[in-house]
Amino acid sequence: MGKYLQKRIVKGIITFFITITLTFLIVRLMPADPTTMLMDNRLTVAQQEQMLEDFGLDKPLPLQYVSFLGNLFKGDLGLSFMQKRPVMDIIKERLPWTLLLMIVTQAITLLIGIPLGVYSGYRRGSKIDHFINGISIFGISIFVPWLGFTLLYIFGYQLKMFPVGGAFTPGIEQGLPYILDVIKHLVLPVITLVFLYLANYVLYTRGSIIDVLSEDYIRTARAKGLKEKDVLWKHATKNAMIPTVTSAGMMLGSMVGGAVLTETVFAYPGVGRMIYQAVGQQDYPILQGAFIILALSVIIMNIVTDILCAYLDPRIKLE
Amino acid sequence: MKKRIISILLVLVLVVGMLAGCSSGQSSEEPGKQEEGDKFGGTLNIGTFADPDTLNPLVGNDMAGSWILNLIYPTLMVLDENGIKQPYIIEEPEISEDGLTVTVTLKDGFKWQDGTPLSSDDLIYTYETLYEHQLQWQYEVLEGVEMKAVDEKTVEFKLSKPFPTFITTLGFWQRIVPAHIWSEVEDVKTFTNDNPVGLGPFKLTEYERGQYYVLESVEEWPLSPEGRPYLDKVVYKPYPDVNTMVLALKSGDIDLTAKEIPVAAARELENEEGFTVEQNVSLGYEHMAINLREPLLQDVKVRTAMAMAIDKSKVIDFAFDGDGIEMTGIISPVYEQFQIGNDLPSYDVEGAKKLLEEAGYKDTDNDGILNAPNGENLSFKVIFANTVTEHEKMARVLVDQMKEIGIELIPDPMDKALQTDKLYNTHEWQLTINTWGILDDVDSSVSTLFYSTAPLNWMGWKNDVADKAMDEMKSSLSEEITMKNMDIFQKEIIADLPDIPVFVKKLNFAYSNDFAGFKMFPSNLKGLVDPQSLQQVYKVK
Repeated sequence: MGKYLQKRIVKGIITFFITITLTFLIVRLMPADPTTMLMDNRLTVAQQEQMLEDFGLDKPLPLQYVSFLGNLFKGDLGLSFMQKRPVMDIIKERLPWTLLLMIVTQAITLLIGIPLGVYSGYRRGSKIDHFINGISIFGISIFVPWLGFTLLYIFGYQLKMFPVGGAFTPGIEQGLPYILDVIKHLVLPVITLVFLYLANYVLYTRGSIIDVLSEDYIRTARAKGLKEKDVLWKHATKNAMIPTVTSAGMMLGSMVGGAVLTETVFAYPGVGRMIYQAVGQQDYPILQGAFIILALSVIIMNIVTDILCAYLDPRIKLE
Repeated sequence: MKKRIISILLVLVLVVGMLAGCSSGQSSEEPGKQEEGDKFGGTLNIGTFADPDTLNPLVGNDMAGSWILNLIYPTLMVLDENGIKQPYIIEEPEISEDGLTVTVTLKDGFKWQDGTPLSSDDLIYTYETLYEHQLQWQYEVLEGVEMKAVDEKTVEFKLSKPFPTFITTLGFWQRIVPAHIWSEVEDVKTFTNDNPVGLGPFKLTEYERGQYYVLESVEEWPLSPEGRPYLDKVVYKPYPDVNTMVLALKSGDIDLTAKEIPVAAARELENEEGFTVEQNVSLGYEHMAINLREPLLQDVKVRTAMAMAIDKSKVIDFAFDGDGIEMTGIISPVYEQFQIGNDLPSYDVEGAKKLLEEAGYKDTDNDGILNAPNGENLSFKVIFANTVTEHEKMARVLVDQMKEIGIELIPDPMDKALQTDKLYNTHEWQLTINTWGILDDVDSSVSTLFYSTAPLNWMGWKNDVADKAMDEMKSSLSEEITMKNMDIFQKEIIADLPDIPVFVKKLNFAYSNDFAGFKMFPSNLKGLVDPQSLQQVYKVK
């Protein structure tokens, strides 16, 4: 186990290093000068040069790279072009909200998705299987802003059950009222995201349940006289979980895509909306910082899922 | 097992919720102050599209930021409802006869929000800092200017050459900061100013970035009709999606939109009870600029024919649902006093065709596109930012209209940064669709767009007569000279047509009828949220 872990971590570090190098280059090798948008049209040449100097963009690329790496390991992601504040501070403000949204979405999606997948795989070809499949495919193909806006329109505006956007009400009392208020604001964005990601879990689980159910050990379990319920939910499901767990880890990256759109529609103050705004303002340091943090989380999640898979299936041998 | 999972999940939600709560500001729900006078009290929630870029009024440079910062840091001058600059915290500035001395006197009764009276030191500190650190483009007007405090309330500027719009430029664009606080700041450029001490009808008391900005009214504000703002609070809430913002207005989460709303939403709200929609006109205009470095576009007849082929009303209908005003000349209808009858060629497809034919353009290879005498097709790429839907629609209409006269337009949408790079730096473009305009002081600022060496003159237009006229306008001390040169300038540019203005957008803003007393100021830069409007808005009981 120790060796396996070591190997995975080394691999992770190499991947991280490549990712940050690519990020550094992409931002600087864009067809347009990254500072073009920063410059107010009316700025004088002297002012423009001063600004380049302020952001360290007047130095040659290799030098910029060295100071970029040096700062990165000190946890310094540079200054935002627009906000003139450290990118790290900005991300720190936004990250808790996105984490809250993602963790709740992941948990609910897993809780709903896996049983649905197992059941629909078990009742393969039945009407209920078609129905579950249909719903998941619908969810995965829907245009997120449309779904989000429709939910807002129905439950926020028409039925007045939930607030129209935001993460909490300004000036709400601390303690329980605050927590309830946060939950109230969380419901619609979470529904949107759950709908979007449900298909991943349902379809993966369904597929592997179908495979697993034809395995010999299932026949053995049935022959032993185990109850069908136990065969399905204990013996089959545990083995069918591996692809699902793997995809859960991989989904983290794609979830950010959903978060950008969802947080924007719901005016939710997370990292996704920060990325949306930074793209609009061409705030490259923020984008660079966001990509690095994302890459880091995806890499860590992948290591965690690998370990989890090894635990679930002892055949994934640890060397 | 199931129960356990559910309870773990619940705990998780609660814990994460609390963690997020730790980083949030304190609540400050106080009972509404109900005092004398009928109109006092109430909170106005305003929908904006983004957070301010920064709370530092010296470096802040975006619209969302200006809506908040203008309430807490004053400029010497403001636009009135007709777009004319008027003194705000100063008396009418005095300009000496030779135009070289400008004297500014602060009005009485203004105090910074920590109680320190506003004084001439604050002005001098602000302008010196602006100039020393070149914080904004307007530092340039301070070149060669000497200033001194005559007394507590009076500042005298000595200019090295006459510059009639010196004080309107500096006074309108530069916000004043308190010297006693800012002189202690280590680096004014990166200072985040998290707890602003300002001077204005409101003070920023609480905010959560990405969520809300609470501004409470001050006790004393001499410019409000009854000595202080009627509202207790103004709260800005950012909605990055404009449709969500409109929905928030309809459901009562906000009472006013600072940003303009889409035409369709405006029409819908007009028919709904409880809301008022008000329009104003953008200070900028939508236009198609021409790169005069391109050989085929150097023929003024081609440019004139293109201008004649544009049916502006169709462009407005299609690209902006009819909510626009046609540009008749190079000056926006907002600045009526400078519209002196130098009109663009009018819409005339047959005339355009004839003009091109007489100039020797024929379709020699029968591909439906005219050929220049050297055989090249009159085919041009038109670049525009892919995020601006209106410009994409405008490009589609123009493609059809140019086709009518045998000119091919190829739409080339691209990233805004790339478009900007092409226009300013590489000059690799032929036609571009864009928005621009002269925000203020038309007579002295047409040169920012059209002077031969101006960075914004992407077209590469060089006309010595026009340059001279623009120079004269910049230093003109009499209206007669200004208007004479304005006429010369307009005649030259209409004859040369380096740029084809198309239309000015009408902007729609909406508010709930629970509030009244709004005043509309020009463009979305000011709209209904100008301090002069919010200082007198009140809640209808």
